[in-house]
Amino acid sequence: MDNRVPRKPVIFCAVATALLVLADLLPYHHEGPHLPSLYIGISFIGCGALILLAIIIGWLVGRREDFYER
Amino acid sequence: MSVDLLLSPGFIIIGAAVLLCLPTARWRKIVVGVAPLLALLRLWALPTGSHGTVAVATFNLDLLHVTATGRLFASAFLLAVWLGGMFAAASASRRELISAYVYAGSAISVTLCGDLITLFLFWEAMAVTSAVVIWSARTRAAWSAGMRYLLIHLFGGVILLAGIALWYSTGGSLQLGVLQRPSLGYWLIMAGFLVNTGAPPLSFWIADAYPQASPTGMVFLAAFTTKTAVYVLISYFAGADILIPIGLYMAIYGALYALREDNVRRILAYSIVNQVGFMVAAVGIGGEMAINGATAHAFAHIMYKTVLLMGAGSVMLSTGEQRGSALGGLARRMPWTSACVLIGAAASMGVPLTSSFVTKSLILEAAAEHHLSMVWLTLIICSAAVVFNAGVRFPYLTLFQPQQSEAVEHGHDPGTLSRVAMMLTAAICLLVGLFPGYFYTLLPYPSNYHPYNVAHILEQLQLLLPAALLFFISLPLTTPVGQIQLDTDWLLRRPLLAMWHNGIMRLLALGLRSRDYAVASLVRGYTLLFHYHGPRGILARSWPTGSIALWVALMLVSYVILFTLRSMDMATFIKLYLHG
Amino acid sequence: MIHLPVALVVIPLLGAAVCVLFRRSFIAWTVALAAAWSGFAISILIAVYIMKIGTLSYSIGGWPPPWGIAYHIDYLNSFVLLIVSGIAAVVMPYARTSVNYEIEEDSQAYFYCLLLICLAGLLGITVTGDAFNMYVFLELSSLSSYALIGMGKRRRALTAAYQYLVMGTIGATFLLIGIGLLYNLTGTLNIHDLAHQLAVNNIIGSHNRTLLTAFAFIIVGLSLKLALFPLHLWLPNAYTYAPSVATIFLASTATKVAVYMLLRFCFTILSGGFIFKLTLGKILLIPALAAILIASMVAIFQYDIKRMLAYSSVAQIGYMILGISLATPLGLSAGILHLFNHALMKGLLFMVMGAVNYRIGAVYLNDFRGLGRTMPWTMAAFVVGGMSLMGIPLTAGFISKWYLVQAALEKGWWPVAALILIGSLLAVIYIWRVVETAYFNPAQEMEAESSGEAPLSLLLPMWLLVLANIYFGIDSSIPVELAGRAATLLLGGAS
Repeated sequence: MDNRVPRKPVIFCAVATALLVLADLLPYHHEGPHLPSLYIGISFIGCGALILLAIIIGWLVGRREDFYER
Repeated sequence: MSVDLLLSPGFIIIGAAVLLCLPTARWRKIVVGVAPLLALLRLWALPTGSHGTVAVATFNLDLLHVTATGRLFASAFLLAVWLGGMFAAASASRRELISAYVYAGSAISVTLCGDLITLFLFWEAMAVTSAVVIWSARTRAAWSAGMRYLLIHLFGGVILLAGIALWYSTGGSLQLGVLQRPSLGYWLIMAGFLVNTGAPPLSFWIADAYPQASPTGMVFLAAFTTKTAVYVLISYFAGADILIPIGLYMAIYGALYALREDNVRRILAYSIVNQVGFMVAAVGIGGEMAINGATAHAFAHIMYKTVLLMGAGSVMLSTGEQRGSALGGLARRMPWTSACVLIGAAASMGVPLTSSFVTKSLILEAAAEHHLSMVWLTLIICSAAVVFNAGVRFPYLTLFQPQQSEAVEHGHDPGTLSRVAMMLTAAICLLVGLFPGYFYTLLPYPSNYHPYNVAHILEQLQLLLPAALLFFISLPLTTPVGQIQLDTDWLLRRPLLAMWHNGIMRLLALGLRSRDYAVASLVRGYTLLFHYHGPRGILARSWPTGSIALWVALMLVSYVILFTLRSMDMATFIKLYLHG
Repeated sequence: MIHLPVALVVIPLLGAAVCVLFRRSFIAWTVALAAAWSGFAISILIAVYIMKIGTLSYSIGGWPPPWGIAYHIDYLNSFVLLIVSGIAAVVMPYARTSVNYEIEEDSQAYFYCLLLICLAGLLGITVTGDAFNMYVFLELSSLSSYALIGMGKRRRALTAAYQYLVMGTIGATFLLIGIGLLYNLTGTLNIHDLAHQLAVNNIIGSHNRTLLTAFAFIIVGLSLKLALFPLHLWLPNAYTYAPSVATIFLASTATKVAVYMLLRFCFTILSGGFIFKLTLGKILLIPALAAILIASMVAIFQYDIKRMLAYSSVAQIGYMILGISLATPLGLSAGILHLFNHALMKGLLFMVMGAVNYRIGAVYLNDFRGLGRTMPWTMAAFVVGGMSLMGIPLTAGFISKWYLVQAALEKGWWPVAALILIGSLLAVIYIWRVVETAYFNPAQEMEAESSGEAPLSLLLPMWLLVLANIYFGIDSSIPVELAGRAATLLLGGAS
C-alpha cells in the first residue's frame, strides 16, 4: 500500500477551508456571541487530538491481525 | 380484535418470513418486495394510541401500542427490511432472509409493544434470530463471532429479565412509560437495554460480530438491534442523566477505534457505535428537542448506514474483499454504487441538503439549549470526526483511493433489484435533508427548528472541511496494515474462554449421556404408545357390542355418583344413601 | 313466514315419501336436492328473522304450550339449523356422482329417502321446543342413519350399523328415561316450561336426587349419541364403513345436533347452567380432555384414512365439550363456534375421502401415494381442510381454537390450554402423514391409468367448502356473532 498523501483532495480541502475562513470575516449574522472561525478551530484541534489518541491506542493495544486465532 | 392483533406490522413481517420458505426465488422476491410495504400501510392505518392486549396468566401482554416515537422507528425498520430485503434477494441464502425477517419483525414488535414482558419476549427473539443471520455467512469466523454475539446478548437478556422481575416485584408498573424512582431493578433494566446499544464496557460486540455476517446480512444487522435499544431508552429512560456520559463515551470510542481500522465494514460498525452514542446522549439530555433529535437521528442513521453497507456489500460481493488496504480504484467500475455511497457518506457527515444535517443538529441544539457546554463541544468534535470513519475514510478507502490489489478487477455494480434498492435508500437520505419541515411533523413532539440558515450551513462546512483536510494529510499515519486494536473483549476471549472451554467439554459429555438415555426412553415410549393406540391396541380396536354396553352402564353409575358427590359433601352423601 | 319452522320438517319428510313412490334414482336425487336447498333457504330466512326480531315460537295445530307441541327457535337453534341444512345443501349436489359409484342402482332411491328422513329428524330435533318431541325426532334420525350406514359397500358396514344400532338405542333409551324422570318431577315436557317449573318449585337448589339421576341418564345417553370418549366406540366403525355421502352428512351434522341437545338440556332447562357451572362442567372436562389426547393419538396410528378422520372427529368433539364444560361466555361460544367450524372442515375432509374413493377405490394411506400429482385439486382441498383441522391462522379451525385457548386462559386453566395446543400438534402429525404420502411419495405404477382428477360434480361442492373454510377463517364475524349471542342466551337463563 502506498503511503503518500494524495495531492488533489488535499489541495481542494485546503482551498475550501481558506474560503471558509474568508467567509467568516464577511459581515453575516451569527446568533449570539461568535468567535470568527470557532468551528474551524474546534475541528482542527479536536480532530488532531483524536488522531493522536488513536495513534497512542494503536501503540498501546494494537496487536497482529491473527492475535485471537493463535 | 384478536385477528387485528395478528395483523400488526411486526406479525405481518414474521408471517412473511413463513412465506419466504417458498422454494421459488421469484416468489421470494415478490414477498420481499410487497410484504414490508403492506406492513407499512398497516402501520400508518393504525392511529397513535391504538391498543391490543392479550391476557396471559396474570399479565396483560400489550402486543400493540402505537406511539409516535414507536411509529417512526417502526417505519424506519420497515423501510430497512424492505430495501435490505430487495438488496439481498438475489444473493442471500434462504435461511438468511427468513431469519432476517423474523429478526426485523421482532424489532418492529418491540417498537410497537406496550409493556416490558412483551418487550422482553421480542428482545430475546431478536437476539436469537440475529445470531442466525450472522451464522448464515457460513464461515468459521462467522460461527464463533455469532456465538460470542449470542452469549453477550443472552447475558444482556438475563440482566434485563432480572431487572424486570425486580422492578415488578417492588411495585413498579410494567406499562410503557418513563420509569421513575431509581432502584436496583431500574438500573438492571437500563443495563440490559444498554448492552444492546453497545455501551461500555461491552462496546466491542458490534465491530466483532457484524462484519462477520454475509455482505447482505450486515445490512439487516446494522439497522435493528442498536436502534431498538435507543427506542426503549427513549421510552423508558428519557432524561436519565447517567446516559449522557455513556453516550459521549460511545461517540468517542467509535470515532477512535474506527480511525485506524483497516476492514471497511468494521469501520462502519465502529461508526454505528459512534452515532448511537449521539442518540444515547440525546436521550440522557431529555426534553422535547433532544428526544426529537434522538428519534430523527435514528431514522436518518438507519437509512444512510443501510446505503453505506449496501455499498460495502456490493464491493464485497463482487470482489470478495473487505480490507481497505486491498481495495480502491472502484469508482469507475461501480459507478452506481459509488454515487449512492457518496450520497450516504454525505448524509453521514451531515453535509447540508442531506438527512443527518437536519437531524443531528437537533441533538446539538438541545445540548446547547440545556447549557451543557462540554457535552456540546464533545458532540461537535465527534460529528467532525465522522469524516474519519463513515464520511470520507470509508468511501475513500473502498472506492476512490488508487487501486491496491487485483481483487478489485472483478468489481462491478450489483443486479438491477439490488441497485434499485440502493438508489431508493440514497433517495430517502436526500429527501429527509431536502424537506426537513415535513419530516419534523412525523416526530413525537412539535418542532419549530429551522436547520437551513447561512450561519448553520457555514458552521457545518467549517467543521467538516478542515477535518477532511486533516484526514488527507494524516493518511500515512492512520493506515496500519494487519493490525487490530484490543478491546475489553480480550478479557472474555482469553481467560474466560479457557474456563468456558473446560465447562463446555464437561457439559458435552453430560449431554451425550443424556441423549443416549433420551433416545432409549423415546423408543420405549413409542412402543408403549403403539401398544395402546396402534391399530390393534386396546384404545383403537373394535370392541364387542356387549362390552361397550357394559361401559355405558359403568359410566352411568359413575356419573350418578359424581353428580351427587359434587353437589353435596361426602358426609351427607353417605347419610343419604345408607339411611335412605 | 308463520309456518316456516314446521315446513323445515315437513318438506324433507314429504320428499322422502316422493322418493320411495318414484323409485327412480334421478328423480329421487332431484327431490332430495330440492328439499335440501329449500331447507337451507328456510333456515336462512329464519336466521334473518331471528337476528332482526328475536325468538320465534310456533305452536303445532294452534295448541299453545305447554299443552301442545311448540317449536321454539332462538339464536342457538337457528345457528345449528344453518349448519345442518347448509351441509345438507352442499352434500346433495355431491351425492349424485358418489352415490352412483358406491350404491347399487336399485337402492339409490331408498338411500336418498333415508337421507331425507335423517335430515328431517335432525332439523326436527333442532327446531322443537318439546323434550319428548325431541326424543321422537332423535329416534327418526337415528333409525335412518343406522340404515344409511348399513348401505356401505363393505360387509363390515352391517356389523358397524348393528353396533351403532345397539349403542344408539341404549343412548336414546337413556335419554327417554331421563326425560321421563323430569316429567315425573315437573309434570311438563315443554323445555321452557320445564325450566320454569324446576326454578319455581326450587327443585334445582335442593339437591333433588331424581333430578340428578335424570341428568345422569340424559348426559350418558347424549354422550353416547355425540360419541364422547369413552362412549365413542361405535363411531370409528360407523364412519369408516358407511357410504361416503352418509359419512360426510353424519359426521358434520349428527354429532353437532347431539351437542346441541346437550346444551339445551344442561343450560336451558337448568336455567343458565346453574348446576352445570358447579358440578357437571368439571365432570365432563375429563372425558373431553381424554378424547382430545387419546383419540388424536390413535388417529396417528391409523392406516385407513377415513378411520383416522373418524378418530379425529372424536377428538374434535372433545374440543366442543371442553368449550362447553368451561361454562363461561367465551368458552361456550368457542364450543358453539367449533360446532360450525368442525362441520366445515370435517365435511370437506370426508368429501375428499369420497373423491379419492371414487377414483382409487379405497382410502388406505398407501393409496394416497402420488395423488398430489394425479389429483391436484382434491389434494389441495385436503391440505386446506387439514390446515383448518390443525388450526392454522387464516382457516376456520384457527378461530375456534383461538377462542378456546383464550377461554381456558381466562379461567386460568393453563394445563388445559397446553393440552389444546398439544392436541393441535397431534393433528399436525396425522394430517402430515397423508400430505407427505400424497406429495412426496412416488405414485404406484398400477394405478397410473385409472386415476385422474375427480369429476367436477365432486370438486365443486368440495371447493365450496374450501372457500368457506378460508372465508370464515378470515372474516369470522357472522359465526362469532351468532355463537356469542347463543352463549349469552344460554348463560342468561331460559328466556
